[in-house]
Amino acid sequence: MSDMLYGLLNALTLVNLFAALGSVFVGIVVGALPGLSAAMGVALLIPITFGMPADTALIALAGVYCGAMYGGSISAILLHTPGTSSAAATAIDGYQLTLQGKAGKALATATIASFVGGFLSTIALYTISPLLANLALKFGPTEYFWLSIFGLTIIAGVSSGSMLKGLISGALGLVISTIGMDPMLGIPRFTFGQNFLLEGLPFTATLIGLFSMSQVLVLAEKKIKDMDKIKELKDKIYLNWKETKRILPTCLRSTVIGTVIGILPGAGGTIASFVGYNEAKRFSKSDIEFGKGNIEGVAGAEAANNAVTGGSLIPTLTLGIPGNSVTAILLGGLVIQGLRPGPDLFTIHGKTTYTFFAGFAIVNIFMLILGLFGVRFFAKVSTIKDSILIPIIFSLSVIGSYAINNRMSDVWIMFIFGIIGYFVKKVDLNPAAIVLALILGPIGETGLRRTLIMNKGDLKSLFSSTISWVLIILSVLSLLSPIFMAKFEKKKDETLA
Amino acid sequence: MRKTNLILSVILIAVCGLFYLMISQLPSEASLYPLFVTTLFLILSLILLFKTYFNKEDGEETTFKGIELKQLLFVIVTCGLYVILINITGYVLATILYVLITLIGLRVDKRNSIFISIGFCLFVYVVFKVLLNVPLPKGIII
Repeated sequence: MSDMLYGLLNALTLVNLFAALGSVFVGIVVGALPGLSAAMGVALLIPITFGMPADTALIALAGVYCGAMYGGSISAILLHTPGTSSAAATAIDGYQLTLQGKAGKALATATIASFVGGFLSTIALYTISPLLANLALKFGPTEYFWLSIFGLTIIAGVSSGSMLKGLISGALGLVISTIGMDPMLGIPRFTFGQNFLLEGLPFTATLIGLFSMSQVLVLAEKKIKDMDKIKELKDKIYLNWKETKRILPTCLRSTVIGTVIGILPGAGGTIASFVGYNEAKRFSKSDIEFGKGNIEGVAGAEAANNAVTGGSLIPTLTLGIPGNSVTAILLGGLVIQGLRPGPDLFTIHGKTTYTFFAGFAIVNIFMLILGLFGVRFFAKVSTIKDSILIPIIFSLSVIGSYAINNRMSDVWIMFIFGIIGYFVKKVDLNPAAIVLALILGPIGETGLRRTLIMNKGDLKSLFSSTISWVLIILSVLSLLSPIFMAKFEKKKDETLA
Repeated sequence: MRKTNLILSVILIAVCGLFYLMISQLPSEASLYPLFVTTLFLILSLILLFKTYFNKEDGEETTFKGIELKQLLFVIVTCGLYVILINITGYVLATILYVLITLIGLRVDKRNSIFISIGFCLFVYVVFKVLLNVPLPKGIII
């Protein structure tokens, strides 16, 4: 309890409040720009937060995550171009409202719904994570080996289209993760004679290459167009009491949906917002208006995708298995700060963790304020041309990849992985699976080799504990998950049609 | 997608080959785990190869269709030159030059380009170096 109270007070210090405000601002900008993704924003922020205290750094990372999740709705509503894929469901009714001259209502709904979803998902963070973390106390090296396998099967299962390509991406990441010194024997592996590779690939530089520079190239391959003019925002960004009461049940329902989907590994904001939208439609008294500009539709989608943020942090923090690319990168940020996911976060590092949780709630409050009062500004920002974003993002990528080790060699690694990342995206491989394998690879390898050394190379020891079997079964189930996902996809297509 | 997948699987298998070559030079106790993951990678790549090869009907080839190749190459080359230039002139000068050239190359009008490149640099310097204490790459000159 004392840690919780300490965290709450600590989150209210000036530095942490400033980190929350600044990062939400950046996050909303990143989300509102259709060319930029949350993953990119978080990847660029990690090196910048490197020098900060762990709690401040984590709050800042969460701020970008939450802000971007919400920011996507702004361009979805005003331009019919979702800033992030999870705002696609928002665009259905949101843009209709804009056409009717009610953009202000749509934006206010999206802002309030996002706030409710994000803010209430903090409750799940506070209550469920310590329980799940305790489970991890029972884990030995063998269990960690299977846990990393489970983590990999999850991300492979959700990959963009083909499961096989997801698995290939994971395997590629595993192979790359063996670059550097052998963890048991200290023998250099695949270092191409380069000393700086002895400690493995520089994680942040690799990440920035895969997510930020590759995005620069994706922007560069397209013909640069002038952005559509934003429809004039005539009405006020405001909901009256009656309208607020109308969307509230939808917000609450979608919050539960989003949080649960967020916790479930593999499903993310996009699925949550479509399920939230569908359920809003099913429960609504005015369901015929859906698709023609119903604020309940906007609320259903937005509350759900922002509730995912809190939910998705739970498996990331407690077990170290992030369900999507943003949390995979966040996990990287956690590790760079010297924090290991698991029970330690709630005991030894309890103060940091609970400061982060309280900061997460504060981030959502700032999101509400910035959203209600600053939306005109963000709407303008969302029309910045790609030609301007290209050099700016690359230049920021250079700073980011340089900042951690102060080496130009890391900048080159970023450059190389930027080009690799571009092709990875083009051929439908999954960059998130590669990153996850980079994180989980060493954990799995150490687990496997410790187990084998302790049991004198007896492979049967890998299958001796109940937890191991549970994890094996979960891995198999998650490999079968595309079959379930296909059902969701079908529903999603029906909604879009 | 078929052609892309065929080329992809061949490249992936070549990567496996490269790693096998390097594994063969490792002492045997250190080679076991890399061998395990590389083989896993090889098996999956082979599955992709066979799956694509025997599945003749596979949609249109859209992967690299309609991309602005010249523009893409321009961006890659300027980015590369920029990193080289940073080594010589340090971050600030290189960035002003790089942003300016890229913007003009991407047909942003000249006045705006100058304004943006200097403005961005100033912003980076103040926010990152001064406020957040993030180190900026140094070159030989500065």
